[in-house]
Amino acid sequence: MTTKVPEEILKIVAADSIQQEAMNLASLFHFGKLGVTSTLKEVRKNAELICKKGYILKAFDIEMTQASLAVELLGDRLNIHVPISYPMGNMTTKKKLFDLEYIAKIGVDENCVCLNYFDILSHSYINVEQEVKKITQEFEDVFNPMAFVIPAALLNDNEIIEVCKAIENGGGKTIKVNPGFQLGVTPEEVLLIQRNFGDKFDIHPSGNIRNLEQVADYLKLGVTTIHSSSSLDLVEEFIKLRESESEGGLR
Amino acid sequence: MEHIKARDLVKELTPYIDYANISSYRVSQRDIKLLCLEAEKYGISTIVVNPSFLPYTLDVVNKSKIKIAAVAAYPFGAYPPEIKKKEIEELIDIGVDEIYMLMDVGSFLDGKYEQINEEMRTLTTVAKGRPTKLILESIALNDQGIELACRTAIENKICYLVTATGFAPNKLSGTTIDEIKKIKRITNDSIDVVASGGITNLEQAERMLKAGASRILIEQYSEAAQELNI
Repeated sequence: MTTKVPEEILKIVAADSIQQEAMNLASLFHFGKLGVTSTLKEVRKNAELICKKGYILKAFDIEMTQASLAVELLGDRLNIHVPISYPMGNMTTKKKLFDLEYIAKIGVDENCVCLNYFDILSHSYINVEQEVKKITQEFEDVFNPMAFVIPAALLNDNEIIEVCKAIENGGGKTIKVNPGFQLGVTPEEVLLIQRNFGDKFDIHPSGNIRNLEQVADYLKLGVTTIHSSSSLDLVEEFIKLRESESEGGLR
Repeated sequence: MEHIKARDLVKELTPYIDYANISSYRVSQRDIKLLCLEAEKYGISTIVVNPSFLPYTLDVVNKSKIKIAAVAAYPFGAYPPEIKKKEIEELIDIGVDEIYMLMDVGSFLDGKYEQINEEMRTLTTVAKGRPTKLILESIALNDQGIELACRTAIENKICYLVTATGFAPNKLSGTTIDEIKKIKRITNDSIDVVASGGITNLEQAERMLKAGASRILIEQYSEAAQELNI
């Protein structure tokens, strides 16, 4: 249980008021609750909450069938994000391309594409590179950003480096480290990519990020986008801690 | 004696098993080759794979003995019918024998029944006679929901209803046996059921068949799969 807001977070979100600090923290997060039973009712509820709180999140992550509603409710305030071949990286490249075509038509701003985990785990990195190339050639000017998801939790260090090389060769610029859903990120994975690729990639950590200490760990590494289904709870926790830390509540 | 009993159970069950690698993250070429070899060794006639390694599976499997099913819209199902149509068309072009498809459960829960009807109709139409297996995620539906989903599936001539994805939220509880009995009761036994989810051993699988399931989906590397290796 976090008892004090980590210093790293305070440095990044510094502002004149706790409310503004909370806004700054919220702006780092991708928030969404995806899954087989995810409904439009929940999308509406979350959209209402985001509007009520005034948060301008990095993006709101939703399923393809929910995208039009999300664009309607939130599209003028924050990015709408639909993940592709998510979370298992189990769809063909052709399917990914027509999914991307579809979401582009309905006004989705950004996405993440789970690469073909079969190719990755089979060390078929040339196939990975070709998939990245096909996708970036067609869509890199359409979506901003377009992240490629790697299942780093399934890979050793060499494999992570090889798949990142394939993404780089294919023209990919943003990497989401792990999809979530049983595969959660660690700071070591992010650090490994940074050490080997410098600032070539915008790295988005994802999965199992549930407390402010973890958020601080990634901010320390220079990350500016964090995927967490607990995003809104984390911002609320931040506010509670800041209010109890500061004298008399709001400064 | 126990060994003989176990061997008899395996022999009894294997004709009814769809042997799958769809919800695992162990998906290298080695894993899929092993899936095909194990299926042949155990006398299983249908394997189920994800689209991304369907072409590879077709290359390595013994097609004279084993049929290949692939899953569409898996594991979350939240795609419009036109997208599902394209995916199924591609699977057929690649060479699939049977199609599993996940119902858009979220849209069903939102009451978008016309869309659900359309996606089931699409599945049957595009499958062109190939066996179709619709995953309901029945644990997420109440009795009226199950009845409506089943009725729609029957009207659209879906061949099998499949109970679970393996990806339902943890907060949902229930056993696959209960779901099987419910579906059989609600549909007056008029549609076949594939039991999937929560099958941890072969005795449980046997109970599912006795509860009315026509087939059992067993995941490669599951505890139940290990029992097949007698």
